[in-house]
Amino acid sequence: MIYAKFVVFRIGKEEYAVPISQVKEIINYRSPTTIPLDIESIVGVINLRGKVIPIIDLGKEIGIESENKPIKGEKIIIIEDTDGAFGVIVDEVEEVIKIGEDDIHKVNDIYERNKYITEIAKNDNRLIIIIDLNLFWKEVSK
Amino acid sequence: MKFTVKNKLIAAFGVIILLSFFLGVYSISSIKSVNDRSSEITEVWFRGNDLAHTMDTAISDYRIREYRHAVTEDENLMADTEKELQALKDKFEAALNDYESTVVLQEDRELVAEVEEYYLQYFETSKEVLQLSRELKTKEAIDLLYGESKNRFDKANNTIAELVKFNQEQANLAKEQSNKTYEESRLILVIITSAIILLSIVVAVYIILSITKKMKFIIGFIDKTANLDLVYDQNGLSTISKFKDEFFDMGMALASMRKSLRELIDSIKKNSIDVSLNADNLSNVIEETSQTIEGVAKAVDEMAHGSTDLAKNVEDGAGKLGALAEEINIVVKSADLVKDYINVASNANSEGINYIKKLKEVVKVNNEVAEQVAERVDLLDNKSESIEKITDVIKSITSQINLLSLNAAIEAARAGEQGKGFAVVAEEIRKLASETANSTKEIDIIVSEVKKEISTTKSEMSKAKTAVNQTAEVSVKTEKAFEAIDNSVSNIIKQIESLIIGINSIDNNKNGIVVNITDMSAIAEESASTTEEVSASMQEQSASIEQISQSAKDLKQISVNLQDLIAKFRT
Repeated sequence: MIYAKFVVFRIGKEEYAVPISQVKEIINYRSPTTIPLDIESIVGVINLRGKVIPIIDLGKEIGIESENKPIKGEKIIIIEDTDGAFGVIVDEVEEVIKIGEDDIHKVNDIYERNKYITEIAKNDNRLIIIIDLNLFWKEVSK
Repeated sequence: MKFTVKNKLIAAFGVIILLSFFLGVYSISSIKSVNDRSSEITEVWFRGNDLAHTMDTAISDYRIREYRHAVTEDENLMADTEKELQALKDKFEAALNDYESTVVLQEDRELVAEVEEYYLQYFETSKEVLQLSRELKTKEAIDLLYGESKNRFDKANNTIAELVKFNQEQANLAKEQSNKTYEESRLILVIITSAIILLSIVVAVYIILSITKKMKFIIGFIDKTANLDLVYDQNGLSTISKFKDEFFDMGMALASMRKSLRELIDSIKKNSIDVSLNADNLSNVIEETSQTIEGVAKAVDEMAHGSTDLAKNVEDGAGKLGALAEEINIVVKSADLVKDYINVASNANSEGINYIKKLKEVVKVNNEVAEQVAERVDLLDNKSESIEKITDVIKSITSQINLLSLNAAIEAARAGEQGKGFAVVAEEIRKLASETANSTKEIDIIVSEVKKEISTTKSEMSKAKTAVNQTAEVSVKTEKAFEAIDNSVSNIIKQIESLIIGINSIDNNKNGIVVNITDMSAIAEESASTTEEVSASMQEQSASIEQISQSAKDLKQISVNLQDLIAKFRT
């Protein structure tokens, strides 16, 4: 059986997963500095070891009110690919899991509107929504 | 003939009635004259005025229709107009005839004659006008109408107008005369009424004055008699003899009555003086006798009372002593009983004091223990807070380790095949962190329960402390109360013992007194009965003398009263 690895995180009550290959690292939440930008989705920027990284509130973007939690629990997932790096605010990062390819299902056309939701994974009776955050970044930064 | 009061009154009222009758007759005649005048105005002059107006209107209407006749060529209208003309002519003549019948004055008659002359002339011309009109000679008819006919109509019409004016003038004249007559009559009536009122007042005042003067004199005479003044009055008699009417009879009767009274009073006076002298003598003799007897009686009476009282007092004394003895016995028994009870109470009190002392010690120990417990609990509280701080630190470390393990896993994945072993290590570290986090949570729960228990214990402790303090206060108070009771009880015991001694000595003395009193009682009783017999016979004698004395006193009083009465008369 062939496995793929994902980083699982939570916004509100839903669990989402992002392919581990896209993740650079996970840091504790720090308040972004707001800057005037044309892109509405970018809530601000942070300084990560001398690099300026734009930050996106993912919960707001996908229309899920994040849980009324203490800031303490929030995390920022730093995503990096060839185009550069950006941070995504999530409520909690839960674990790194392996999911067999048989348990991963392509989503139907119904979800076409949200192009960055690519697949849904089944794991021990739970459903995890897999988001391609690179696609997402391309959508929001058009 | 006597001119009595009655005759005077009749004459005066006769004159007033006569004058009033005259006034009435004159009033009626005046009213009639005013009435006549106003009738003349309504019957003659208003009627004349009306008739003259009727004539005026009739002739004016006639003239208008005559003109219509002349102008028209329609035969039917002509015939109708002629009928109307004849009717108006008849109406005019009827009014004129009526007026002639009311004419009185020469000037009026002359005016009527003029009217008759002119209207006949006018109607003559009118006939000609109508004739011309019927023959359809309209132009000639109109010419005649504005020529001869107009002159004659104007004359007749002017005369009638004069007649109207004359009637109005006459009516005004008559009205003025009527008013004048009314004013004159009113003036005369006022004068006559005033004269009658004045005359009535004069007559009334004269009569009242003459009667009151005599009446006052007679009343003065009667008043004198009422005041018991019967002295012979020559001046009064001579005044009365001058009266010519009923007052003379009244005065003479009064004088003769005064004379009879004078004689009667004199005779009573003489007799009463004699009676008084005799009664005085009698009274003096009786009084001397009475005084002597009273002296003796009083002495005997006092003796009798004295011995009776003595006997009674002695008897009462003996009775009371007996009762006293019984009371004393009861008191002695009661005092013994009280002493027993007090002893029991005293014992109970001593026990109470002992218990209270023990209670105080226990309370003190209790207090000390409670304070120690409180200190320990505080210590426990501090420790549990320290534990909380430590678990907070563990929590933050765990979270950090968790993050590190995640990042390690990511790094391992990126490293590919070479990172596989490292990924396993990272997963193990993450598991350890997760377990630590769970344990920390359990510790947190336990610590918070411990804290809750501590706070409950603290509040219970403070309640217990308050209760112990209250117990200590109450036991101190109770101890004081027991001590006070102890003092009182020992005092009471002393008092009761001295009381018993006193009562016993009273009981011993009492018996000797009882024997002496019994002897005294017998002697007193004998003496009392003897004296009472003497007293009774003395009282009988005294009563007889008192009766006689009272009769003499009454007699004396009667004669004195009589003399006082008589002295009031002056003769």
